[in-house]
Amino acid sequence: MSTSTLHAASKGEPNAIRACIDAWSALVWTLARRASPTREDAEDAVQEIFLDLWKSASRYDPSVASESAFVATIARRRLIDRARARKRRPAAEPVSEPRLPPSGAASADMCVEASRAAAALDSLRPEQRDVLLLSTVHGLTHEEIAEARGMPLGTVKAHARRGLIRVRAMLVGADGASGEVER
Amino acid sequence: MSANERQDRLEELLCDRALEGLDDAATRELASLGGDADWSYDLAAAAIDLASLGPLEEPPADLRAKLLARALPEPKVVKLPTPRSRAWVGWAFAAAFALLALAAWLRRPSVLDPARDRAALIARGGDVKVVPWKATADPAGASASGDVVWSADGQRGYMRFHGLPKNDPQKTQYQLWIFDAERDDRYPVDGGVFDIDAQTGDVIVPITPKVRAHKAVLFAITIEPPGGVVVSKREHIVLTASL
Repeated sequence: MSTSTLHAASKGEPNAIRACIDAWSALVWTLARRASPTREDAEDAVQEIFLDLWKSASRYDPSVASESAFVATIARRRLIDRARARKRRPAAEPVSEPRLPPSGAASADMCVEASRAAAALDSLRPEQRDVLLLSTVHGLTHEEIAEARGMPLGTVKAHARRGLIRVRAMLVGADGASGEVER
Repeated sequence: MSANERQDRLEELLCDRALEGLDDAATRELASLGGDADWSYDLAAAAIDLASLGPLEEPPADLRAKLLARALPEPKVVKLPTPRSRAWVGWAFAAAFALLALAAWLRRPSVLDPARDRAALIARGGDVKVVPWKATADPAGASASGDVVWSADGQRGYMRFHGLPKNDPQKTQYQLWIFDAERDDRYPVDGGVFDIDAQTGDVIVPITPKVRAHKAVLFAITIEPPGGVVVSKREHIVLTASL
């Protein structure tokens, strides 16, 4: 999909909107299902995310991120807002088993950001990786992670932040420029 | 706060926003530190989401329909009060139609070069309006685009289409409807039937309304049986253009 499609969708052009929905509904739905307590809540979230996408699409810059990463960022922001509004954490996999999917799964090939994030996570110390995945993928608060792992809250926060900073550094690159984009 | 402390606090807030979100106070603090436009940490968190997803799950079919419906609302049809009396309307239409038919014939555009006539009408300016077609949810209009040129004073115009599917006149024809703000919207003005017989390039079709559209507000294209219909069931509204 070209940059102009996202920009065209932001202007309300029907064909571009249809193309965006076709391209991203599965990704957004999968993210929403993982972060929502019920199927109905996930459906509401998806609709809100696409409204956010139409409003934000004009700001998409391919030199900053791939389209997948852009859409996932929009989705993540809305899902976090919804979780905070619910004042409880979304349903998640068992706390004791945070992990990336087996190699060969589709996700790491989705975009360059995903593959770089996977590589960055592999390079983290195990406790940093554990905390970061519990926070991002499983949606646990720092307090919940501290309680689940028997770790001081300050340590949890430090692990999460250092891990995220490391992932960000891998995406941004040493010269501060963004990495390659998907298309 | 020293520069290092400021940078540390900025980074802390950006990480917190990316991982858990911020409350109002923290959001204001982030803005005061000039970091609210930096979404690189949020992008990093989203990248972790993507790296951990696994196979994608297809959304429910009705959810896609809801997304389309919210993004592409149905064309707005003007609601008008019912005329008080229709007793004299028929005669008035007959007389007006006769006069209009004569006038239209006298100033008829060339049927040999509608593109040139269309350009000339646009160049004339004045009350001439050009509005783009918008596709509806109907699949026939999915790849279609173009515009409508309309002169209310001249009661004439041109439709331009690109990508509208070719039709078999033995089975269906396209029909133009002109919604008039001064008429009951249940009975828009019949703009005539036409065919698309070219698969590439632009197709230009003159507009020849059966009766005067005093205040056209909406043009709509439907798919109808050969020869068109008097009243459309509006089951296949392909394109609309709002003035």
